[in-house]
Amino acid sequence: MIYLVNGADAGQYRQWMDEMHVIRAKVFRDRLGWDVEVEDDRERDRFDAANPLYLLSVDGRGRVQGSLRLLPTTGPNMLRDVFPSLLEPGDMVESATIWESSRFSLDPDRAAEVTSRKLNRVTTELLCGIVEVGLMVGLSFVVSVFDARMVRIFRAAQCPADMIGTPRKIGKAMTYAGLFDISEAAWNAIAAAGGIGDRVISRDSDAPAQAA
Amino acid sequence: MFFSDRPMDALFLETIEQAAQVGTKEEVYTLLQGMVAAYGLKNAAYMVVNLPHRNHLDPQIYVTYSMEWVDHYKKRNFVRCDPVLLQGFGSILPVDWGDFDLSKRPVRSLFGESREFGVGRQGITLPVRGRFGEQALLTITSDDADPEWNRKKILYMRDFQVIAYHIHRMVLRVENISEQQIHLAPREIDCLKWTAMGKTVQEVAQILGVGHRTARFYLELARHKLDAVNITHAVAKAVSLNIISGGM
Repeated sequence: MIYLVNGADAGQYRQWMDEMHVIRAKVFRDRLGWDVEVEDDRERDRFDAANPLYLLSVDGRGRVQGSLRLLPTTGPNMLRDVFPSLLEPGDMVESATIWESSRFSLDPDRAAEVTSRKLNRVTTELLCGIVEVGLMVGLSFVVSVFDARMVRIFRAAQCPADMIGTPRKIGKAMTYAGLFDISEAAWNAIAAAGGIGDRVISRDSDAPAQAA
Repeated sequence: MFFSDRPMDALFLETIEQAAQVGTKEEVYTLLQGMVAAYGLKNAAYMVVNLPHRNHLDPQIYVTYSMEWVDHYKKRNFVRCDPVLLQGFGSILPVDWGDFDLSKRPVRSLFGESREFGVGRQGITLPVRGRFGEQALLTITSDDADPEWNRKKILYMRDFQVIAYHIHRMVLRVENISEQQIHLAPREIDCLKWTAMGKTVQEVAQILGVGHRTARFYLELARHKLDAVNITHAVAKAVSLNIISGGM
């Protein structure tokens, strides 16, 4: 199940947010070798302070297994403020109907091996979650910066990204800027590939108890 | 049913087109009042904080509420407990007034008294994040009964997501916060050019050797930069601004 957490409400979801920051440190510092700020084994950046919307994939026992965050491209966002070099000179992504997804991460210690043939459930949930949020608020696209490994995952998830701009090597990984379609058709394709039958975002305001 | 293929109703187009023409503070109020009347709403309220070169404790506010309500709100110091502000500024999702927790007394008083002042029984608030780090909220309210409102709300959340941003840009203009000159990237100009020549998105994509999704994406970026309501409007504006030539 996907839970939506506003950055401003992080205090009410302290355990989940903490688990998310730990997973992000494992993924972005340890595995991708990005130059991210990690304190006490938890990765945080200034966009976490910009009140993003987090999508948390939480398992049945109340543990976070993956996450991402969304920011409008009309305000502070990573593509504009951190990775403009991935775009063609003069390109700028800014629209009320385009949001940015960043820090897409799955717990590497727990996620089943993701291959192009076997799709991780958490990946599917998160991607369906993006599309569901997008449909709810009337987005046309979601843009994102991601590494080569994710390109394969997106393709396997039937959620192909169109690349925009020029890929560059950042840290250990080739890094791309890409865009995703927000449409019912996009949701159906991802859901079918991942064997999901119903909406993934929890409508239940009573979230399961956070694991102690 | 996604944005660019959605048949957009005339109201939506008119509202955005009118917002692009507004030049004075008085006209901002006129626009909000016109929008409220046209959509059959009760009220509309726009508020922005953190504008560059402004004291952020001094928000700019444009509302169609009665002066009596604005005075009463200030006198009762509702700003301290108003969930519209607390949740709106902490969220990027639309805030539905129906979701507020009314168990706390000050919040219950706020909404009880707001009804007496004709603020509206229902409301949604659309957060806007701006380029300079400013944050704005556009609220629309209604006196519709629940079933009717719940039906409209779904559509309003999507349409007003876009309208809110156009209203925000309108206010920035009126408040003399410099908007950058329109500068289209080469790819955006290419897409507009071929569209102006009657090519479909698929054809434009083929000509430029990009995916149709990418072509739509660049057209959407151009639309946004030109403050246009749709691609046709964007082409017309690009021609009138001499960004692309009309006859080729």
